[in-house]
Amino acid sequence: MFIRHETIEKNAFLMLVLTLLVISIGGIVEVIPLFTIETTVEHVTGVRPYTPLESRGRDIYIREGCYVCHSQMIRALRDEVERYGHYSIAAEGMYDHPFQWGSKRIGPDLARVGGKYSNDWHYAHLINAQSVVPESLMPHYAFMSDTPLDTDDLIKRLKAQRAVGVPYSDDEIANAMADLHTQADPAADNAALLKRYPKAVQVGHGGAVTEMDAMVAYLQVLGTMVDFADPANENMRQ
Amino acid sequence: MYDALRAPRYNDDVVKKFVIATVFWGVVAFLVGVIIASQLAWPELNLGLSFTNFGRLRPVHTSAGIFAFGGSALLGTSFYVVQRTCRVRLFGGEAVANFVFWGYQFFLVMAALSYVMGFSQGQEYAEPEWHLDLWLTVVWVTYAVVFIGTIVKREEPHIYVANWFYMGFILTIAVLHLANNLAMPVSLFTAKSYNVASGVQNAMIQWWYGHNAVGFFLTAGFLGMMYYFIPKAADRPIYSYRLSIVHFWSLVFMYIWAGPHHLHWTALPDWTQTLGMAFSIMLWMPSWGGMINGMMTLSGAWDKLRTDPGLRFSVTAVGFYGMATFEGPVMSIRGVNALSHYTDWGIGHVHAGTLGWNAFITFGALYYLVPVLWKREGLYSKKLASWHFWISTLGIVFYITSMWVAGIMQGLMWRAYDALGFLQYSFAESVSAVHPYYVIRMLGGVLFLTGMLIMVYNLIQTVRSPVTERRAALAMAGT
Amino acid sequence: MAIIQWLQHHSVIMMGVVFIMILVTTFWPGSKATFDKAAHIPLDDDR
Repeated sequence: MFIRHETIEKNAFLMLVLTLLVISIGGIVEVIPLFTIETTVEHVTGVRPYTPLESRGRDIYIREGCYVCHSQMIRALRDEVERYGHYSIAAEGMYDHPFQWGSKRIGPDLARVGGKYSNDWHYAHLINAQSVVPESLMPHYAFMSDTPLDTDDLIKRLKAQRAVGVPYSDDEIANAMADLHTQADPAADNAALLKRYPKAVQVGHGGAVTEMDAMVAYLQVLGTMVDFADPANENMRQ
Repeated sequence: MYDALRAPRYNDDVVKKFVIATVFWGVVAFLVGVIIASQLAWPELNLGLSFTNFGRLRPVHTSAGIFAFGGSALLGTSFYVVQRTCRVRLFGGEAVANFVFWGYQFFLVMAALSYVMGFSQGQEYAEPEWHLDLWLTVVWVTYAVVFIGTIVKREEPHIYVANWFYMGFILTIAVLHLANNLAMPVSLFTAKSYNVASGVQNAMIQWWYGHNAVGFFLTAGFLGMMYYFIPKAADRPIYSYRLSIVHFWSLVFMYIWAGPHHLHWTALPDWTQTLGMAFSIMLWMPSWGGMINGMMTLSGAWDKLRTDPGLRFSVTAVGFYGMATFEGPVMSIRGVNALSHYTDWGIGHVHAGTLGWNAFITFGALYYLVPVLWKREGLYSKKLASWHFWISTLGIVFYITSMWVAGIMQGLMWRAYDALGFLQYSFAESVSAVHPYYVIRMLGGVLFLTGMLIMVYNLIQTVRSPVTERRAALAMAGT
Repeated sequence: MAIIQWLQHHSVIMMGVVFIMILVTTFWPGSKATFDKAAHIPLDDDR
């Protein structure tokens, strides 16, 4: 294998193939084992697909680019665990297509914001962040409360997620529209909704479902799915 | 021998188009940068409208800076360099080259529009939705065919080192683009898709892509630019051609592994994080190999820095490349990363690389190319180019230092404990503490934009200067 | 698989050897002339 570099420099095809070969090594070694090694994603109870309303809220979270200022990843560092709660584990994001860990904290981490503030606090904060947090740099999203939630392609969106691995059952897809309206109306009976989606939080003020309802539903479930006190979730060693 | 009757030897037309696009997108990228920097200093500037909020404008800034400004510079210079170093006209003829240009510009405009209208795949530097990804794939494959075709039918047996880097850039970006954008569209007519990967695997693939968009788009591609324009402007051969062989293969091999340093202390398995850190630290060597090769090319020609402002930009760029690629390995160490991740320190590091290295080497190439492409005697005004140099350099210093201070302060405030063992600062306190540095950073951006506008004026005047006939005659007679 | 096992243990050493070979082939005295000629490519093209 003692080829002189000059031969590479004179042969375009060889240069091309060698470059492709060399650049593929790193990617293969770092990416493929994440799909094959069993302990990559912890086996914990509680993680479930998003409800139809939460899923639409997540689409809006991505559309508005919330990840450019907010992270959703509590690192395994003492001050973060104290400030935000239990460090985030891989299992919590297994149904996140795409992941939203984020890489900048202009605003605080949101990985466990679910249940930390009331629905009304979120509505006030989204409409005018500075009214509740004077130092906040967050833009105003009042237009979300005036925009009715577009649910025309809700079923297609759930099926598209199912196609990439999110285990929505036929029953859940059949009841998607009903579940969405149930979750967006605090007065509605949510027994069936909670059976299908434990820990779903009801939002809204009755009336038409708005984009802000979907956003608040999504924010309120963040980080609440895994019960770390549950002994079944004890051995999470990676 | 150059034959006046035959078509001109090289296809400079497409290079001219890309040069103009580069200048245009530079102004757009820096202007949007100043706008969103101002929004972070004074949030009222978001105006509360969906299409002006920071969340939708930030991807416009990053895509305009990286893919539009950087991309147009790379495609343009790669076409110029590959023809000169292979001594042959661009493969595929005028029409295909024009398709690559207009196809790429169409992608850029559509991407910027789509973010503002509320379409994003939600992954950094890969925000364009699935239909734009498909269009870019078509354009990029055509670009690869044109570039590699030119090399295959070259008349100079030896493939010059700049072309290795350009080819490495083209091939790797194609691989990265395809793997990171595998997504299931909601329907044929919905600009919404869900990435095939999820959670921790998606995070790894995203930052394998993310850091190598830096490694191959903003580094390897621009090293190709360095390997041609510095020797050309200094009129001396590259310092050590053999060092460039070691530099190329070690850089291309090692950069790929560095992605996980974006995910330190997260839910990514520890073995992957350690691999990412180890290779990021080792990357210091090939990066500085490139810097030394570029810098040392000036030995015996340093006086040219006094007379050639373009070369001064290029050499300073290589200096910034060295600084940024030293800062990077340091930040990739887990302990340092625990402090720097999520803070503005990262933004300081990014702009040391983009403004200091990418923008400056592009300015150097533009100052060299415009007089040559439009067959002018020289720049309209070297004095203006010097003004551009010093104003922009000052802008970078403002930008980087303010982000270092803000970033390290944020990191320290988030982890500070008081005497009683409680967290000392609330998150909101750290947000208000960085306000003055966001203003300084915005001023740095204004300076950089001002320098850019000086260059725009200078280049326009160069193109309109009346010395066309003598230079053209010179070109005709000379060959 | 034995080969995987062997690779895991010896991959670092192998990469080191490959790297040394690259160094040797590039800095072999014999090839100096060709590389210097290659370095001149950008300089002697026609304006």
